Amino acid sequence: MKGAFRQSMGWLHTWAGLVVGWVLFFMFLTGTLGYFDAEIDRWMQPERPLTAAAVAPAREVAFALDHLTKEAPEAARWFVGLSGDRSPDLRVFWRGPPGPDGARGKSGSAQLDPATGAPTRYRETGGGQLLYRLHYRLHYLPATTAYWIVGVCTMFMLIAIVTGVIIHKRIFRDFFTFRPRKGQRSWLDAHNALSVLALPFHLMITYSGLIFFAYLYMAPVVAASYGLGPDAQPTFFDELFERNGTSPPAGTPAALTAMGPLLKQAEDRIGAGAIRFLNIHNPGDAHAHVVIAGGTLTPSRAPTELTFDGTSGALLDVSNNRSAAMSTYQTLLGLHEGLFAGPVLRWLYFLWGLVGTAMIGAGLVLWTAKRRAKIADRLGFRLVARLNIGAVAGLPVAIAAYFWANRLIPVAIEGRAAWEAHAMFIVWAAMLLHAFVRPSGRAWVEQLWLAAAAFGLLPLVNALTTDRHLGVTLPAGAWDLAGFDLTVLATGLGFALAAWRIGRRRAQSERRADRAAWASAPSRPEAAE
Amino acid sequence: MTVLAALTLAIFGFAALALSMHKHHRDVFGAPPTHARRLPLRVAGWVLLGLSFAPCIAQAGWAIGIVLWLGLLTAAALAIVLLVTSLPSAKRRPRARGNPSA
Repeated sequence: MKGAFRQSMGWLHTWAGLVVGWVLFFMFLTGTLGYFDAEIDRWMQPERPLTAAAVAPAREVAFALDHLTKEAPEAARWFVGLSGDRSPDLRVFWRGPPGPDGARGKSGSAQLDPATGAPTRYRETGGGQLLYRLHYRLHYLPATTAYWIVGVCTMFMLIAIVTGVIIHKRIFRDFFTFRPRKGQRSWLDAHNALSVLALPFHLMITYSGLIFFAYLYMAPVVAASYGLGPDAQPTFFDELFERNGTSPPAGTPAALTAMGPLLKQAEDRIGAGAIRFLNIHNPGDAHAHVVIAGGTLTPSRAPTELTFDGTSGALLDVSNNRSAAMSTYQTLLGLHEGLFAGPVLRWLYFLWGLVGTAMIGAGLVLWTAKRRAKIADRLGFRLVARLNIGAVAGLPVAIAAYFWANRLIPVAIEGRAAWEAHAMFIVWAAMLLHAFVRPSGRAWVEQLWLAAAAFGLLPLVNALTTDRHLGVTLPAGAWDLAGFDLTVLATGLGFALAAWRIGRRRAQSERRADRAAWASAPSRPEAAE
Repeated sequence: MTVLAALTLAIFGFAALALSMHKHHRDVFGAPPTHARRLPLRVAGWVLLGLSFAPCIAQAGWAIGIVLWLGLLTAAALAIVLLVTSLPSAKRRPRARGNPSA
């Protein structure tokens, strides 16, 4: 029975992986880039000052409240996100009172310069945020559709991981095994090594990815407890997030208390510079509440929250406990997002993500390597082989195109952020077309060289279009910006190396095939004379 | 600094574990590990890996430290894979005539 079990697990692993492999490759690559979303944001808005001086929280809050009082005096809630390490702007958000029919109030937001309080005027771009959101939101699709597609693919990925561990017979003995230049065996070794060496990450990222939208995929579970009425989901979320603390507005206007003392109390409790955001409920009303949140970042994403009375400034509550269910949920999401990670750990997350992306790519190529001898002429095989090229080599080219578009699309163009994304998908479509039209071996080499050029030349494009290039950022010690250019350069070199070696091996095997054909020719040219 | 210490311990730990394996020991020393060698190498490997846990927790606390440790383990293991792969395989080494284990 063991043989049959392993065989069926093998079948499941292959098909679960293959059917959604290209979507997973896309998700992993864009998600991995998401770990550096703030740095990519930074590079894609070169108008930002080279270095930003720190601003006192009290000043930032004052700027924010000025803006909010002007823009949304009647709001039900104001949100102020202080600038920090990975968010250079002062962010404000407001939500208006609910409509007469119970509809959610209108909302609005703005990014302000923390030094001046004025709305920022950098080039409109999706930045790294857009790249990162692609990995669960996809593009050009309604949100729920995208979440379902992503959810199905993630479920298949989880199946692929578990079955992969089951079928990997020598998981300990082959832990360090990688035999290069042996064709199919090398691809198997690579796929295995990349899977096993980052197995905790792969399991965590996949399972936590599913948890993100558990309320959507497991909607019947919510319905079983809360029913199917229009109030069911809102009630569920209110109870889950314990949102029943704030009272509705009294209707009588009252001045909002001064923020300075509240901020000081908060910093006394959670540490200087540790305040991250404020929520002000019913500002300007007698029932106003101010919630100041902050504290060190941890995987459980639990900020300490101080709740103050909005008119008297009295401290009402300090809390950072949540239910066990909530803690578990938030910890899993926190591990997935890695927002708590410092520089070293962030690079490790990036490495893990790249390992996962490469694992999927190696798996896709392994599928064709294993079957080339037997079924290379079948339509299914050719489809997989061409899609592999378009995804594994073509998607990186498309992502580089996104960065090129950021530098080349004029700043004043309306809707340039959307066009940066369009550029990425247009180039990707072109790569897929190229993969189907060119001979298979040549298509790989050509797209890899294209990727090498697209990434390797990006720092040059940067230098020609902005003054945030390596010549400026390295001497100034602006490591976020310099790091982007250097990483992109290294990526280009990596692709160039791959393109060169694969090109050379193809040329060698072509020469060998030519020699074999010549040696076995029925008649020699001399004999014909 | 502590991160570097943890990474170094992990690299040596994985190196010891790799050396305790038939193929990799043979590639480095020309012959598979003797019984007397295998157990100490295994123990040393696991102990070093375990020791690399402490600096991570010291640096970043329990919650973040565990994640950091796992990340360093992956990096260290990858380094050892690349290292043992770059060694010429003992199978292909030229052998002295009449001495199959040289």
